[in-house]
Amino acid sequence: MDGRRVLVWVEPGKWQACIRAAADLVPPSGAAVHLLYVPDDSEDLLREAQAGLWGRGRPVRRQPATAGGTELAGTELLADAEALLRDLAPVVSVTTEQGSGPVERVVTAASESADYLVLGRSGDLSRRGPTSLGKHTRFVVDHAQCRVLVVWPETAPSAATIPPLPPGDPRR
Amino acid sequence: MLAVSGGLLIVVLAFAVVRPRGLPEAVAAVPAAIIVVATGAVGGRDALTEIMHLLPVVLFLAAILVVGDLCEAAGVFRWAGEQMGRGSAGSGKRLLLLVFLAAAVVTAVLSLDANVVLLTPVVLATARTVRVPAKPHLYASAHLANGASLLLPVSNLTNLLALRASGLSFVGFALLMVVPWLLVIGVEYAVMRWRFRSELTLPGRVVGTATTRLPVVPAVVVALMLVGFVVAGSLGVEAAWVAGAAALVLAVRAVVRREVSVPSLAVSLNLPFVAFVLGLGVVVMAVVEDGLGGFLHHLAPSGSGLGALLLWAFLAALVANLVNNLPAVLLLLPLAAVAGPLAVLAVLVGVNVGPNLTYVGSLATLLWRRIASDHDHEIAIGEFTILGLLTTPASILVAVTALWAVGRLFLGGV
Repeated sequence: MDGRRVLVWVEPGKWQACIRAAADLVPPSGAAVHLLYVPDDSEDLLREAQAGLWGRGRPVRRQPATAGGTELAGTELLADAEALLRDLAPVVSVTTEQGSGPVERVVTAASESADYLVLGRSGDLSRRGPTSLGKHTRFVVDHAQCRVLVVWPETAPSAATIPPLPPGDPRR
Repeated sequence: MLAVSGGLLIVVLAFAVVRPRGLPEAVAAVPAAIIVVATGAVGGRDALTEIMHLLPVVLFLAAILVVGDLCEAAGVFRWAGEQMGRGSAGSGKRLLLLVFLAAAVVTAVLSLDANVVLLTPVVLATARTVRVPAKPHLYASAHLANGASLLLPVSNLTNLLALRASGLSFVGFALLMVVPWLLVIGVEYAVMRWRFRSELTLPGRVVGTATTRLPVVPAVVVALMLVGFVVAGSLGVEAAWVAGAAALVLAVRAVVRREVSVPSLAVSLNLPFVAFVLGLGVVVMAVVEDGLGGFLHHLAPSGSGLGALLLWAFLAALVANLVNNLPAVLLLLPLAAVAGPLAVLAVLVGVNVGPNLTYVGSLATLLWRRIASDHDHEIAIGEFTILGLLTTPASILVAVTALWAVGRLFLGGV
């Protein structure tokens, strides 16, 4: 171990690309990789929708279909992410964590104790440009103290999606 | 007198929005109704007539909520979740399509409430299981709870309130609303696909075979209940009896099978809410009679051309967005009923689809939740407001235009 600490922000749909990138950051001597998953604010959104029903939006009495569903889904996701990482980079120590709270702040706080942070783009993925970062990703990139590796979840859009120099640009 | 009844209405609505200590809305609404009767703002006989008029509607609501809850207890929604998860094959786009299908059917048949309380949590869990971003599916389900509640009189409490005022039969209502219903769903689908185009392309996980089988008895009972609504409507029997019978059959079965307890059935029945609607109805009646009716009468569009129907719908959407669709429909129905069945249905388009603009149902609820929320759990207001602005005006426009066209076809150019 050279003591390199890699933090991976694990998210649905993006974790595979992030794990592959993180594996590239692991030197032959190994590294300590921390996998962090933070559920988004969908539960809060659900409560908001139920608030519109007034007294009819009461909490469900029984929730066998959803009870612990979010936490279980997160646990499984982290387990699969860890398995993929161990496949790709054998000499690593892996820790996993399911965070809670405002996702961009939780990830930023976790970056304090990392040398590298790997995260996936989360905005408009159909073209290159600032909108491909998304609000929370942008916050993390702007505020993280460590080195940040930003990954396209799938193949990056072609360079043709970059707008040309504007007509009036003197360098044209 | 308007100052008294209007003040009482404001207190009743504010109490419903704030719900201090989680007390039922009826705690304010029932005493307020007693006050307006005691002060003579509404005659005792008139109040009783109004209550008897609303009673079948709210009893129907209570029954359909029980049916929905018992379907949940029997595993219908778990089954739906597994089918959506498996059918999506790890694709966000396919999952969205299945969520639209499930949300449209559940909302139309078991009401908006069943969608929000029972289906939408399952949609969230399914998206998490399939490992795709949950938000597009959550928004889709929540938006369709409002948007897809146009089809049947049973799909929304507001529809039930309006059915009698419209003078339409169960089938007549559905025939006039089916095209607007489909168009609203179409607008929502197009906007969701476009707005979440990147999230929907992210790869998910293929989940294995479903383990839950469709609970046959609840499915058959619900299907029979739908047939029963049509038959009862043609025989002049209250739909509440049909829903009550379905609730009873499912309740006995569930208690025998120990899926639910009798006390929990009482919770499902939600009698405090029934009392609230009755109390609210009487208070609104007082406000209308004390002069608000005359004021709204000046605002009310005349005629039943396309322009008038659009005005009705947008006026209704405005009122619904200020407070909630329930008082909005109670206020506007007496006026719209005079203008004919299409005006009543246009009001329904406004009060049903309109609340998507604020997501939580109304500005009042939204503001209160902003004030009351601790800042750790503050919801970003922009995202759902943008989504509401993208879908709601367009949905109302196409739905009312379709309603007008279908109305000319069926009702002969009213």
